[in-house]
Amino acid sequence: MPVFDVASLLPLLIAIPLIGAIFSVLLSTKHAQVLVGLLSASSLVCVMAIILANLPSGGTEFATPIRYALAGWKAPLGIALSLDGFSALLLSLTVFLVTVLTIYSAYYFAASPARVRFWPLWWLLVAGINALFLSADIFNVYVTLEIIGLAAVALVALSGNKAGLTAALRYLLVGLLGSLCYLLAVALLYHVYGTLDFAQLAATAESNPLSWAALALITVGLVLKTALVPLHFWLPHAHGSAPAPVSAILSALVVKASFYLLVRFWMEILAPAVTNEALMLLGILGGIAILWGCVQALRTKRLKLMVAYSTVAQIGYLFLLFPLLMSTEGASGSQLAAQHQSALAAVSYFIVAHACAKAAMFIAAGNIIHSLGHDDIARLQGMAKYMPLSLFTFAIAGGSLIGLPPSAGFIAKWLLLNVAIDTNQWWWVVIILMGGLLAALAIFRVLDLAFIKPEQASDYIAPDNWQKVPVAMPASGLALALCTMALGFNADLIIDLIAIGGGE
Amino acid sequence: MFNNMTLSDSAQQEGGLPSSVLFIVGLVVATVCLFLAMSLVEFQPTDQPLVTLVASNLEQSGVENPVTAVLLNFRSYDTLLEVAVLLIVALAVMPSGLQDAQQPFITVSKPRERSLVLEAFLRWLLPAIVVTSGYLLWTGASLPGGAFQAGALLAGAGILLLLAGHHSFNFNAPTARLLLVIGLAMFLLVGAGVILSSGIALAYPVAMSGILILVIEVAATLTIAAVLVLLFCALQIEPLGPQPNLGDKEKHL
Repeated sequence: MPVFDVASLLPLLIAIPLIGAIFSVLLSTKHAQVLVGLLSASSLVCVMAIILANLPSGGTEFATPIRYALAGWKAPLGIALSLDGFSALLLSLTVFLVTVLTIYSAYYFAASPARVRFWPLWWLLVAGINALFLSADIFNVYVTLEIIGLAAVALVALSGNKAGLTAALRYLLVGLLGSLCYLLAVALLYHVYGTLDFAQLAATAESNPLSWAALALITVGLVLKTALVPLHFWLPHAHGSAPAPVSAILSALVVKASFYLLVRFWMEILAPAVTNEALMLLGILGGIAILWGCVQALRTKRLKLMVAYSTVAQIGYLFLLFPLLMSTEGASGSQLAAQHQSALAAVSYFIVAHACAKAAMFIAAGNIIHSLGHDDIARLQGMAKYMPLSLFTFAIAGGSLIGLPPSAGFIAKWLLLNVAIDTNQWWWVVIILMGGLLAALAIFRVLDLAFIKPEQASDYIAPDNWQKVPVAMPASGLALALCTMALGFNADLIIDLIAIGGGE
Repeated sequence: MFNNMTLSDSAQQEGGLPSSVLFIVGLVVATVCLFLAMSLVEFQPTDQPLVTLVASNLEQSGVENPVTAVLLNFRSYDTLLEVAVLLIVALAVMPSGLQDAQQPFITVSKPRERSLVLEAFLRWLLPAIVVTSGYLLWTGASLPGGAFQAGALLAGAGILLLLAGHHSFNFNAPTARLLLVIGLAMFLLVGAGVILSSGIALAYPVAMSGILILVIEVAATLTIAAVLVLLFCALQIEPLGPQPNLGDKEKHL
């Protein structure tokens, strides 16, 4: 046993945000809470950097994930944390986004009394997300889902107005229904296989009616939480009426957390129970989500709601992963593994690209609301003069969502198209391209108004409650938007990370 | 936080679904339930290896009650996160506003109308409840009981105290905040502290495990009781007793 073990750092990723939450409850003055936030964020970054630096580089001999048995009890009795390439990528994404959003929130909530409650809930939510990505136990995952769900609901309710509270209550009920479906499936799996551990379940799972039932329940529960069409009805309002940093983390990370679990269950844990028809069904729903989300984004009149509907569409792209996993008759095992690997790499890339772009967009929309007091798209005419930085951020992030080169969104769609063509499923190509076109229409509708059309009616000029935002607020959004560009040039970083520990 | 959403508000939103949709939904749910029941009946239950595993490791867990052993030793991480869930709930329903952060946790005042029977009864009941709660906590090591039961009982005592009208609690006070986080803080502290002796987070040294579990449970009991009383305070719409205008403000927000 070496003196220094990467695995022993894993609990820190959960402990640091929890400690941050405790101190933000105890110290309720403004500066103390911001200081606690910055300290927690920077220590998370340090820990994650050490973990990433010590990860075994992608090679055959390190194909097993890093595991840490909590409380010293081995798997069936105790709970293990585990880290492989896929979860390492999502954890790095979480740490990065949380750091940027923490800085943003320090300014966003500077004058708001909601900050007293925001900071503890924020760190509890981060603890939940990190715990979910690290967990290797299906019941423990349920607890982390509860943490994420409840903290997210409380954060949405922070907006305090009636629309926000209604959306939060609906979000709570949807989340509870999803969690209960998941819990029922956990009970079934424990009844059949007598273990709750990911790896042990994956080793013993077989295709029988109870496995199908469990997989179906898990899928319904998690699809409800991920907001795949037709179960997306709660998302636009919850994401559209929350405070900006909350909307950003909800769209960028929280829906991805339940998607991550779906991938784990469909690709690893219950893989024997998966059938081609079921994979195709998820793909078709994803395709509908892309088109439906884009059309709704085109029709909506509020900027934030538009960004939220675009999340519905982007979630659709993620679900195109599933039909790309379908096994064809003549394919050998290694061919199938390679196909799975490239499909997963494409979708992981998509997750990262969308998370950065969407967080940047919500930050930009938050700045616009902060300074104008509204987010009515029609009244944004000519506003680029007043808020160049925020609208520029919106434009870059929008470019990534559309999939314009050289953004990360372009590479993500490119990878996805490649896999679709390799597996002879050309119809997804049509849908992906149409989704890009529709997204472009929605984004350019805003940009056209804000940048090109001159201000005409006099009452639009210099709105009465016009407030200048601190420069750090648009700057953090711009940093995220530029990240989507930088990622477009460094695609191999992410693809290599996924290969570690075999996302298989 | 949700106090100002009255039932009539939500009722007017629900127009009610047409009965054909309800019928289809009912049919789908019934089919799924039938399928679940069928597949459960067909399945031949195997022996549960975990039950014997828990029994064989019970000696090293520091407690004799298998439920407590699972909750606070074998799967203590789950319980740790559940205490965090309690904190989230507390934060979600906490009264907003900073102005009363400097007020003391408990204020005593004369109630508008006194209930002599309740007051006289409480003089006997409250000490008994506190002692019983302590007993439940202690007995959790070997018999059914533990932090959740003890905390619920303690919260009952707090609610009775509120109903008598002499006391009111201010959950923005520093003491109250400490009570709300002490369960999680103590759990984390112990979980991290044992790394010094065993090298693994949350792995108690066998000789000390009984006492460490008790320490965690005492702190968790306090937090659970505080959260439950806070829930009771948050859900009341009319202010109890002489509470001046805290409840009123919530309504108007």
